[in-house]
Amino acid sequence: MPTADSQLIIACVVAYLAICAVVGIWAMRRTVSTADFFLAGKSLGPLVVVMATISSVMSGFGFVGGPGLVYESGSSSLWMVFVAAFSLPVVFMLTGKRLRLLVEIRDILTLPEAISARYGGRWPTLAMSGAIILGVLGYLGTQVLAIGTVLQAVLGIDLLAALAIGLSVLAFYSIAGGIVAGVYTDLFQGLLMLGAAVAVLMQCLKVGGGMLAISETLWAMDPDFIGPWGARGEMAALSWMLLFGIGAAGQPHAVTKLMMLKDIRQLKWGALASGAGYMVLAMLWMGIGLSMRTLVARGEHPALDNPDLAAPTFLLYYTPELLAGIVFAGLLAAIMSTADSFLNLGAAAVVRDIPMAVRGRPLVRELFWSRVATGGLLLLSALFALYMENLIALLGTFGWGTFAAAIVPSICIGMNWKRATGQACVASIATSIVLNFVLEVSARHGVPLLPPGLAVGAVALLASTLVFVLVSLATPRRELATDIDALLDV
Amino acid sequence: MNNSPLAVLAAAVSLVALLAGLAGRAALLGMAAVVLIAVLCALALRSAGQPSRRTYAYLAGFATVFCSLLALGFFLHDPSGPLVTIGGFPAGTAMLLYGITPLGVTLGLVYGLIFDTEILSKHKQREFLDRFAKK
Repeated sequence: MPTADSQLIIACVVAYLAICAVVGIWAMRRTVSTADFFLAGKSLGPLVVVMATISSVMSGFGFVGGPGLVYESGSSSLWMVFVAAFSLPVVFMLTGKRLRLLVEIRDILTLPEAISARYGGRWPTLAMSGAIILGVLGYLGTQVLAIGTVLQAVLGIDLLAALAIGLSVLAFYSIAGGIVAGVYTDLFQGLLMLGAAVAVLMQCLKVGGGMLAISETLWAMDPDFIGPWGARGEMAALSWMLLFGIGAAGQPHAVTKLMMLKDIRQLKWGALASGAGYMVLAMLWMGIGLSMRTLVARGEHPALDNPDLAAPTFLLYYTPELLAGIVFAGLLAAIMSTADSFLNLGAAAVVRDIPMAVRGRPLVRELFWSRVATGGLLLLSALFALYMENLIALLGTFGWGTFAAAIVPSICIGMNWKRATGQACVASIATSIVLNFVLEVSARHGVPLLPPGLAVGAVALLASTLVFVLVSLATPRRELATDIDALLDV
Repeated sequence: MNNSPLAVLAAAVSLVALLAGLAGRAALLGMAAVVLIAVLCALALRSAGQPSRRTYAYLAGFATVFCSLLALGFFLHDPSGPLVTIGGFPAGTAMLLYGITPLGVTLGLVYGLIFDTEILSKHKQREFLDRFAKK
């Protein structure tokens, strides 16, 4: 990664870290119960929820990996990001109302608890907790590594020192302030990035000589690259459309945000605002990748060693310093906001969901142990990131797909279909985990089991949906509790 | 509300999409994915009661226009021909940016417009919470 040799960029990043610490102190005073720690006391307004949803979905991958994918394969990855126009409204449509109402009638703080209320028994809860922990470890490891890499580039220090600084700030605000600190740093980050994304897109168009000139250069280089499906072809593009278009409704860091709303009626315009807001951020994803590739194709910039360098290179060499500083701070914020959401989800699974499923009651001093678990998970993921990079890369790759295939059937269909059963929930989650692991590992070892381009997560999502419906129809229907039965009719 | 027919339809569409993907038929996979989105939305809306005809018509229209735009993408992209642009992008790519993206935004708009009537009326909310909310 190129190193930022600019006091202004360093100042922006340091200011961001300081703001996180201040938010952590403020949030700590508001966090007095487990409900505050995991669900922000169900006290959030619509703007905070919308921005937190957008920010946690647009992780470091969105700001580094996204432009890198566009640089590498053109339009293909746009099918991941532009589908957010409808995928985030789909999240609201399939999950928002019932999950938020469930919070009103039961002591629900987490998705596995929602599963427990819906299906009963311990196995669905344990299966969901297991899927969440696996996904969380993968996501967290990659985010931790990304925090170290970005700080290393900005501050010009070694990886260990960069990790120590970044993780100290993250640990401080996420342990002290729980999800309250997380969502308010998300709000700050989201607003910052919305403004910066528009400015960066303008800069991209200016550097590339306008969209028409960019298209002409890239068409001359390779018509498929800038064509509708990109260099990876239509199978990759359309299977990503499926995985990201429907799979967003299975991302726990997005879905749980809807449970935090103060008033359920605030869901009303959240769907539109989150879809449209994400579109603005998508401009950054597309603009940087296309401009950087145009500069290389014209011979105005040497080819990049690694596609992930597209965003930092463009920011450092082709963007005014202040804007680059803001986007670098936003990049770090995007990574940290996703990391804090996952820390919170993982801690909830360890401290609340698994003990409740196994023992039937929560831990004593739950808030204290939640903070301990948050710190422990952060430490564990840092060790994984430093010493088990291959495992982290593998887990990180199938994080989205595992969540999508595990959660879409059991929550999105199960919350809207009374005939769904607990056995089907367990079977679909098991299908998700097994298929994602087997297909991903086999592909990594040179034995691809799928046609070229077909996304592993898309196959797992379709298969787990099929399994969920078939097993539900094949297993005896369980009598629902009166309140859950009524909830499924509202 | 008995939602089993829609759940079975979702499973059937998933099977079609899965087989299309495994057979390397990208266009069919994409269109099945669009239909699956519409079916899942219908499932969510129907479980709360019968959605209005307008909402069904919107979902059917959403899926039809979306599939037509995908087909247009295949039709308009000719790598061996000259560059034809719409709004600065090659014609096929413009279909995604200027067609599918605004179409997707309408889903959020419709959700807001039908929220008080078909998603959760104030009356239904009050009735449910009066009966079941934690005291």
